Amino acid sequence: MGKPKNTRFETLSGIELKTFYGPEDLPHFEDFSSETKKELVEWRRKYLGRPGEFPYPRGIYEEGYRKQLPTIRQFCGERTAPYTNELLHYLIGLGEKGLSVAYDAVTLHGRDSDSEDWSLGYVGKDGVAVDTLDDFHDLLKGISLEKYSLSQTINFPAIVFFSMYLAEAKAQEIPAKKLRGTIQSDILKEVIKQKEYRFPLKHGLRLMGDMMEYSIMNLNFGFYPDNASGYHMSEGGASASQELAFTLKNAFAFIEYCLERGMNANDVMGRVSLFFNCKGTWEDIAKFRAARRIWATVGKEKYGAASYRALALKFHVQNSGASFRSEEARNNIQRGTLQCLAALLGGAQSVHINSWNETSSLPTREAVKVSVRTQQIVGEEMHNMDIVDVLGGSFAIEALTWEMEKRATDYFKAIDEMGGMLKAIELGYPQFEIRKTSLEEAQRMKNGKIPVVGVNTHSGEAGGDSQDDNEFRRIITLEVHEEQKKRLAKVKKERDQSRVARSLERLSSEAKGNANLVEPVLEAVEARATVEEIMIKTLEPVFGRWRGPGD
Amino acid sequence: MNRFLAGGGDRETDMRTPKILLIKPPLDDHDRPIYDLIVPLRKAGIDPIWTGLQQPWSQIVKTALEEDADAIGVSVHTGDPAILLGKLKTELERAGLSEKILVAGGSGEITLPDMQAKLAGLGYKVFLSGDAVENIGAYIMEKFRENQKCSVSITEHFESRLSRHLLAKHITRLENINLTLVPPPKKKSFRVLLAGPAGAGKSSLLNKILEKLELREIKIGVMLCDPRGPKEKGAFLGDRVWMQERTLSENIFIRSFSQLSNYSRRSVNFLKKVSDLFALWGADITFLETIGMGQESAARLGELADLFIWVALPNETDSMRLMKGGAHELADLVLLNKIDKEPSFKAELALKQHFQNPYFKVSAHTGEGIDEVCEFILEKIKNNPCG
Repeated sequence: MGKPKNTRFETLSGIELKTFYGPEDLPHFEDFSSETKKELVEWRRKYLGRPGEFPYPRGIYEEGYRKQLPTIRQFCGERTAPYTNELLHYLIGLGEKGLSVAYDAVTLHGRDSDSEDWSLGYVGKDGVAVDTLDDFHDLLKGISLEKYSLSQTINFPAIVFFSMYLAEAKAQEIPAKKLRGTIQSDILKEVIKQKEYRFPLKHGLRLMGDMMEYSIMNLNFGFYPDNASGYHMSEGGASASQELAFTLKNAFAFIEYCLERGMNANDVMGRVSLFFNCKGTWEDIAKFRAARRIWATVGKEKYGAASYRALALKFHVQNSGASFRSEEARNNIQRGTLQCLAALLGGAQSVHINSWNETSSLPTREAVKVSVRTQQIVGEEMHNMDIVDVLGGSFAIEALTWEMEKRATDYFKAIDEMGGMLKAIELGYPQFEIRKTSLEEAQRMKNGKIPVVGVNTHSGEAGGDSQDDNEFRRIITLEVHEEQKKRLAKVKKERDQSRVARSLERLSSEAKGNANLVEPVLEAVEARATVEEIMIKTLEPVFGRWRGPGD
Repeated sequence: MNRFLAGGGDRETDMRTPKILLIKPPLDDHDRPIYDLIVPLRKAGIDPIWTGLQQPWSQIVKTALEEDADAIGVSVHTGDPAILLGKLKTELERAGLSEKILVAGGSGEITLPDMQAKLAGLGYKVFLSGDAVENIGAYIMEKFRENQKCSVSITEHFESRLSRHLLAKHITRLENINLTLVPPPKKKSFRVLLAGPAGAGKSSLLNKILEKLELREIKIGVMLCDPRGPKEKGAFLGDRVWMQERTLSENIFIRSFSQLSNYSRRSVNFLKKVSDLFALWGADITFLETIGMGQESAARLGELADLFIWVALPNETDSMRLMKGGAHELADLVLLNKIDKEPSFKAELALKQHFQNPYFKVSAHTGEGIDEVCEFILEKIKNNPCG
C-alpha cells in the first residue's frame, strides 16, 4: 500500500526524512576539501548511484517503498481446489494483494490423483491437488485474475498450468494483455536441487522457451513466465553466494536460450524475475543488492538489453523454512519478523513469511494471520520503509555487497570454463558444490558454531513449550484422496473422449517438431485432458526420461 | 557381505555384514539425508544400497525382493508418513518380505510423538535428525544379530524353476553359508564379465546393453560388485542408480554384492554358484560387473567368464599400458567407452598392436556402438557349446 502523494515523510518525532541518503548527507560533509567532496560524489555515482538508477544496487524504484510496499504473497494450498479457494479468500480478507498457489507433490511431479502407484499419501497434502482445468476453475472461483496477480509454484508441468491460467482468463473474459503474475517454470534449479524434472534439459528449456515466446506475443510485461529460483538451493544447503551465483546463471542460461531462438533481450529479461531465500542476515541484504547490480550489468553488457523493464531486477523473497524450529516453536515468529525486515531492507518486490507452526504440519489460520500481520507491521508501522535503501553506504553492507558480487563472479568464471551453466548442471557441478557447503554447515551446526536459540543454546531453561504449541493441524489424507479421485473420475466420465484423444495426438505430433507447444497444450487442457495425460503419457514418450548425476 | 569373498574365515556359519536398502517414497525428492547416511553406515559395518529417486512402489518392492536386504531404511520428508510407510509395509508383506528390519527418519509430521507411536505400531524404528547416526548403525547391527541367530534357513528343496523370490533367498543363503550346494542347472546361463578400471563407465554401459537386450525377450541375471574399503568395512552398493530404468523389467534380476578387491578361489566359486542359481531361475545370460580394476592379476576371473569384456577409456589406453601385465590380457573383447568425449586414435593403434581380439568404440552417453556389442554377445551365445 502506498502513501498519498503529498505526504510529508518524517520520524515519529517529526524529523523530516529524505527519500534516500548519500555521502552528501554526512554530518561534516562540508568540512571535506573540495577534492575529497568530488571524489566521494564520484564514488557514489560510480558504485552506488541513486535508487532507481542503473545498475540499481539501491533498488529499482526512485521512491522505493514510499509508493508501493512489497506484495504480501502467502504461499497457500491444501486439500482440494474448493478448499484452497476458501483459504485464498481468507488471505484476501487479511489484505493480500497477490496470490500464490502451492500444489501437492502429485501435481508438481506431473501425476494425477488417481495414479495409484505414485499418488498415495500425497494428494492434497503439501499443497492443493489439481488434475484438470475444472479443478483450476474451482481454485479461483470468485477471484478476478485482473484484480489479483497470481503466482504459481510449478515447474515440470508448468506449461499445463500456464495454459490453465490462460483458459481461466478466457473464461473470466479477461484479455490476456491484462494478466499479471508469475509461473515459476525453472527447470534448471529442479535438476540442481528440487528434483522435479523428467525430461532432458534441452526439452525442459524448450517448454520454458515456448511459454516465454507465447508471453511476448500475447501478454504484457507484468506477467513473468520464468521465475529463476535460488530458494530451494539455499534451503538445501547452498551458501548465500552460491544461491546468488547459480540462480543468476540459471536465469542467464535461459535468457541465452531465448536469444538463440530469436527473441529480443528486452522482451525476455523484462519477463524473468528471481526468487531468493532470506535467513535474516546482513549477507542476505548484500545478496539482494548484488543481484540487482549483476543483473543490470550483465544484461546491458552481455545481452544488449537497454530498457528499464529488462535491467531492473524484480524478485520475490521467502524466509528460510529450515531456520524455523519445532522446539519452542513460537520463537519462529521473531525469526520471521527479522527475516522480513531483512527482505525489505534489501528491496524485495514480494514477500512470503512462513507461519510459525509450519515445521511439523500445515499452519493454522491464526498462524497465517500472524505472518501477514508481521509483514504489515514491518512495512507500515514504524515508517522504517520511508527511506530507500537505508543501509546503502554502510561500510559493512557495501563491503559485503562487493564480496557477494565477487564470489558470484568467481563462480561465473568457473562455470564458463566448464562450458556454460547447462554443461555444468549436466556434470553435476552446482549440485556437488551445494552438497559440500551443506556438509560443512551440518558440521558447524553440530558443534554449536551456529547458535540456534532453544535448540543448541538456551534450551530447556524455562521448561519447554506451552501446551497449545503442540497442537497441530493435519489433513486426513485418505479422505481428501478419495474426494479428489471422485472429482477426477467425474471429469473423466463427462468429458468428450474423442476431443481429448485428438488434442493429445496433435500435441504429440507437434512435440516431435519445433512448434510452440502452448497452443496444443491449451487445447488439451480445455478438452479436460489431465496433467499426467499431457506430461507423462504424451510428452514423455517424445522427449524421453533423463536423470542427472546420482538421481 | 560374505567374509568368504574377502578370503578369510573358514567356518560354515560366518556372519556376513548386513545390508540395508535406503529408499525415498515415490514423490519425495529430498535426498540429502541419504547422502549423509552412506558413509556412517559403512563405518558401522553395514552395506548401504541406494537406488535413486522417484521410483514407484512396485519398483521399490522389486528391488527389495531381489536384493533381499536385511534392513530397509525410509526417509520421509513430504506426504503422509503413516500412509506411505503403511503402504510399504503392506507391499513388503505381500511380496513375502515381512521379516525385514524397518527403520525410518525424516522431517515434518514424522517428528510428532503420536505419529512415531503409530509408526512403531507398524514395526518401524524412527530416528530423527537429532539422533546420532551411530545409533542407527548400532540398532541395525543388534537386530541383525538377533535375526541371524534365530533365522530359519529355507529348505534345500530346489524346484524345477526358481521364482524371483526363491532365487533371492537362495543367494542370501549362499552368502550365509559358504558350503551350500547348488544343483547344476540343466541349461547354464552364459556368463559375461564386465571388468575395467573404476570410472570407466561399466555401470552405464551395462545399463545401455540391458536396455537393448530386454527387448529381446531373454532373461538376464545381473551381479553388481562394489568394493569394501581398507578402513571402513561396509560397501556402498550404488551401481543400481545407473540402471534404474531397467529394474522394473520382469526379465531382469539384479543383485548387488560387496567384496574386497582380490578374486580368491572362494569368491570366484561363490559367484559361479550365484550364476548357477540365476540359471535355475531361467536366466539366459548373467552379467557380472566387477569392482573397478587396475593392474592386479585376477586370473581366476577368467574361469568365471564365458565372455570377458574389458572396458577402457581412450585417454588411458596406450601401448605402454597394454604392454604391461593386467586383467585386460584375459579379455575377449575391449570396449573403448566415452568415445563421444575422448579421441581414440592412440588407443586404437595400441589395441591393433598389442591386442589380438576385437574392440568396439562405444559411448554409454550417446548409445553409439551398443547395438554392435549386443549382436556380438548374442552371436557368442549362439555359438556357445554349453548353451
